[in-house]
Amino acid sequence: MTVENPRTEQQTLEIVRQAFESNAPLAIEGHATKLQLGRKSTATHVLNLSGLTGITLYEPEEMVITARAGTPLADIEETLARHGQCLAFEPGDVAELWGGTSGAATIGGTISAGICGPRRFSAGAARDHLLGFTGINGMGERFKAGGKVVKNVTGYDLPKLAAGSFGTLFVMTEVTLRTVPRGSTAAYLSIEGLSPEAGFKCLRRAAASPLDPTGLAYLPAMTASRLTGKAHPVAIFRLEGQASGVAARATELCRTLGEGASTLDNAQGAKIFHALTRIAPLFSDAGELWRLSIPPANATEMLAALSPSSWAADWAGGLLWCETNAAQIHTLAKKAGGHATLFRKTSVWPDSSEVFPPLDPATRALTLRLKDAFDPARILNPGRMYKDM
Amino acid sequence: MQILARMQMPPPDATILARRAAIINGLRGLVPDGVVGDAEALAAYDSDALTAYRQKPLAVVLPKSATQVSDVLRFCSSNHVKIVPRGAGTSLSGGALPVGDGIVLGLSRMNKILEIDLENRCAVVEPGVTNLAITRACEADGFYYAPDPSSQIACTIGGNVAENSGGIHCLKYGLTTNNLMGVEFALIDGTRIRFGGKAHDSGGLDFLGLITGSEGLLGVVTEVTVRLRPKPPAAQALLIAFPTIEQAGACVAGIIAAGIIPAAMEIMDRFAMDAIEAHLTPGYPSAAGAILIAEVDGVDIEVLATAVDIENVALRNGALSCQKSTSDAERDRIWAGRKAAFAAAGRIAPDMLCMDGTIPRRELAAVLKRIGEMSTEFGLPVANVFHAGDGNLHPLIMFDVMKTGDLERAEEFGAAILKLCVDVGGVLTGEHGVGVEKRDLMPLMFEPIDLAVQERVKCAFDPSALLNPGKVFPSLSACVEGGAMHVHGGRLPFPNLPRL
Repeated sequence: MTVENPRTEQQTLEIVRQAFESNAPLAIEGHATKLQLGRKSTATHVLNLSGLTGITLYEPEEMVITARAGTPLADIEETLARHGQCLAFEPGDVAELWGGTSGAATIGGTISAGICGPRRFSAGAARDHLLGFTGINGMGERFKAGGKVVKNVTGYDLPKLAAGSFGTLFVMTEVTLRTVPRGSTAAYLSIEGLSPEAGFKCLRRAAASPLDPTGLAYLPAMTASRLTGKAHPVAIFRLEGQASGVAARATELCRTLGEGASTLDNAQGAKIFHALTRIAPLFSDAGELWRLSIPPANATEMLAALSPSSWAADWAGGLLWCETNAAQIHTLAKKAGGHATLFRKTSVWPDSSEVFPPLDPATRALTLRLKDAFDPARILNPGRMYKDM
Repeated sequence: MQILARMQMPPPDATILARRAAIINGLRGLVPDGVVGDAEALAAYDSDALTAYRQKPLAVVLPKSATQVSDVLRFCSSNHVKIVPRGAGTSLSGGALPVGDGIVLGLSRMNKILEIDLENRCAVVEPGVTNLAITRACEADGFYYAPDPSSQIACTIGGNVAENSGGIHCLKYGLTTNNLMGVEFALIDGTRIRFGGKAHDSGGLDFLGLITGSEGLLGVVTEVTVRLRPKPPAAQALLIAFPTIEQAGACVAGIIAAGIIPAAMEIMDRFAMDAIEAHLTPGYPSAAGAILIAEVDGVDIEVLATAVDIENVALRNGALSCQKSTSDAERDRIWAGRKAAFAAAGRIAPDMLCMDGTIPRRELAAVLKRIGEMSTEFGLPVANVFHAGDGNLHPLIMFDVMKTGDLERAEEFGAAILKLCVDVGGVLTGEHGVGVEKRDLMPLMFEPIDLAVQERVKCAFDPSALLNPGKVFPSLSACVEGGAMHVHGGRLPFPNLPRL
C-alpha cells in the first residue's frame, strides 16, 4: 500500500490523473477518523488530503467560509466562534465510536460523510450548508460547482450530491460553507420518567410549536444513566438564541409541555447534546450500532420492531441510534418509511453485507450511471458505499 | 461589447414535425381527454413569464396521474419526441419555453393535496398544487410552507422543485431545496423513483438535492413531500430610511454582525421608491436615498427585542427614520410598497426585464453605482430592488418593445449586469433559474470543464437529451454510451424566434 500526501491542489490533481491513467484505484482519506464507517474501499493506494489545509476566505458579514478540504473541523469551528458564528448543522464528530479521538476530523471528511448533530432537524444538514466546492473527478479533471454566495441556483446543485457521497464521485479539494450567527444563549428543559411513546409525543409537540427548539432528544433510562448518573428516562429540549428570547421561549415551552417539565442545568444539558454529536458516550459496549432516519411519528413502532439492547433518540424521534442484532434491519427501516446505516460493525460482520440502505433496481441503475459520469474508471473509493461502485 | 446575441433554440427536427398527426394520435391514446393540438389553443402555451420569447409546441399534454406522466414519457422517449415540462408557466427565465418539435407536458391538472401529516410536519402533494395552496391547507392548524416566491398564488410546487424557487423569506428559511423532504420523480423512460420521503434525510446519494433546481432537464416531478413549519405567532416589519444606499448596505452587514437573521431584508433604491411613490404614495422620506425593510418573526418578546436591536444598528448607520409596525395592518402597509415595485415600474415603462444576480453584499454600493452608469450608457432606466440579506439583486430594466432595438439593448444591459455580478464574485441567478434567458451567459461563470461535468450528469439521466432541450447549457453536446466522454458540437444555426 502506498500513501500519497499532496500539499497542494495541483499535486492532488496529478495524483488522481496518474491513478486514472494507470487504472490504480485510490482510497480517499482526511484524518482517517471515519474509515470504519461505510464499507472498506478495495483500493490499495491511499490519497490522504490532510495536507491540504487552511481557511482561504472567511467573511463573517457575508456568512461564508471557504477552506481547503484537509482543514480540521476544530480549526473552522474555533475561527467561526471567534466571530460569534457556527456551522448550523452541528457536524457530528463520531471518531470515538471506533476508538479514535474527537476533534481530529477534517472539513472535507465531515461533508463527505454528511453526519449532522441534534440541530439538523431544525437547521438543515451538511448538504443544506455546502454552497460550493472545487473537486477533481475520476478522470483527473478539476472543476468547480456552486458558488461563494449564500443564494445561488446557477446550474445543477452538485454540492448537494457532494455531501454524503463518501468520496465516491470526486475528490473535494476546497469547500465553501454558509455560516450562521451562534446563539449567545442556550436553555434546556427536561421531563423525566416518561415512556418512550409519551416522550416522543412531547418532543413532537415541541417541534410543532413556534418556539423554535434546536434540540429534541429522548434517552431511555440506561442511556441516560451514562450521562446523568440517574437511571430515569429523560426527554430533553434545547432552545438557542439571544438571551431575552430564549428565556421567553423556555417559559412558554414549559407551559406547552405541562406537568413534569422543568429547567435542566445548562452544563448537564450541554453535556447531553454534545454527547449526541459524538454518539460514543451514549453506548458502553462495542456491539453493532445502527443509525436509523425515519418519520418521527414512527419511532415507537421502529423500536418495537428492533428491540434494541440500548438506544437513543434525536430529532424529535426522527433519528434513532440503536444497538441491535435484529435481522432484516434495512427492510424494517424501509417499512417504517426510513432507512438504516450500520455505524459500528462487530468483528463478525460479513463484508458482503450492506452498510448503507440497499438501492431499489431503478435507483441503483441511476446511481451507477451517475458514478460513471464522474468516475468512469471507478478509481475513487471503489466499494466504499456499494460493492460494485 | 456584445455579450449576448438574441437567444436561439435548437432547430426543429423535420421528421418529427412530419409525424405530428401520428404523434398527437398516439398521445391521445394515453391521455384521452388531455391533449391540446389545435393552433389557437396552443397559443396559450407559447411562452412563460419571459414573454419576449414565444414558440408554439407540437402539442400540449395534460396528464391527470403519475401513471399517465410515465406513459407519455415512455411514448416520447421511444418516438424521440422532446418534452418541455410546465407547471403554471410563471418562470421568469424561460424555463417552460416550448420547442416546435416537442410537447409541453403540463402538470396543472395534477393538483390534489394528498396528505397533510402534522405529526411528521409535512404535506404530500401532486406537482400541480400551487405554492400558496399548501399553506392554505395547513394554516388553520398553525402551520405554513415557508418558500414564498412572488408568484406563489399561481406557481406550482412541481415548478418550484424544478427551479429551486426562493422568495422574500429565504434568508431565514431557505430555498425550496431546504424545505423539501421527498419527491417521486419520473425518468425519461417512464420509470418512477422515490427520493427521500418523510424522514429527515434520504439514504444513498442525495438525488433529491440534485434534481431540485435541475430546471426540468433530468426528469418530471410527479409527487412532492414538503416540510411544514409552525407559523411564528408574531411578526414585525421595520421601514428604515437612509440618506444613501451605502448606509443601507452597511446596516444590513451590521445586523448580521450583531447575530441577527431577520426573516426578510429588502432594500430599494431612490428610483424604485420614486416609482412606488407615483403609484401608491406611501410617503417615503424625500431625503432618503434608499429604504430598508426588515421583518422579524418569532415569539412576541423576542420579536420586540430584536426589532429594537435592529433599530439601534440602523441609527448607528445613519438612518433618517425608522418606522416599526404596531399591527399586522401596518406591517402589510410597509410591505405593500415593496410588493408593488414591479407594478410601479410597469407604469413607468411599457416593458420590463427583471434580472436576478447574486453578489457578495460588500460589493453592493459599487455594483449599484456601476449599474447606474450603465443605465446612462444603454439609455434605459433601471430600478433596483434587492433581497439584501442574501445579496440577491433584482434590477428592473425598463424599455419599450415597440421601439426598434430597445429589447436588444435591454437584454444587453441585463447581460452586462449579470457579468458584473460574476466579476465581483457573485453568480448569474439567485432564484429565477438559468432557463433560456441566461443560458448563453453560463460561460461567464463556469469554465468549459465545469459545464462538461454538469452535462455528463444530464447524460446520466437523459442520454438522448429529450427533456427541456435548449435550456441551461449554452452548447449542444452529445452523450456517449457510459456518459463519460463528450463531444461538444458547435451551436447550430436557427432563425430568431418570433417575439411580440
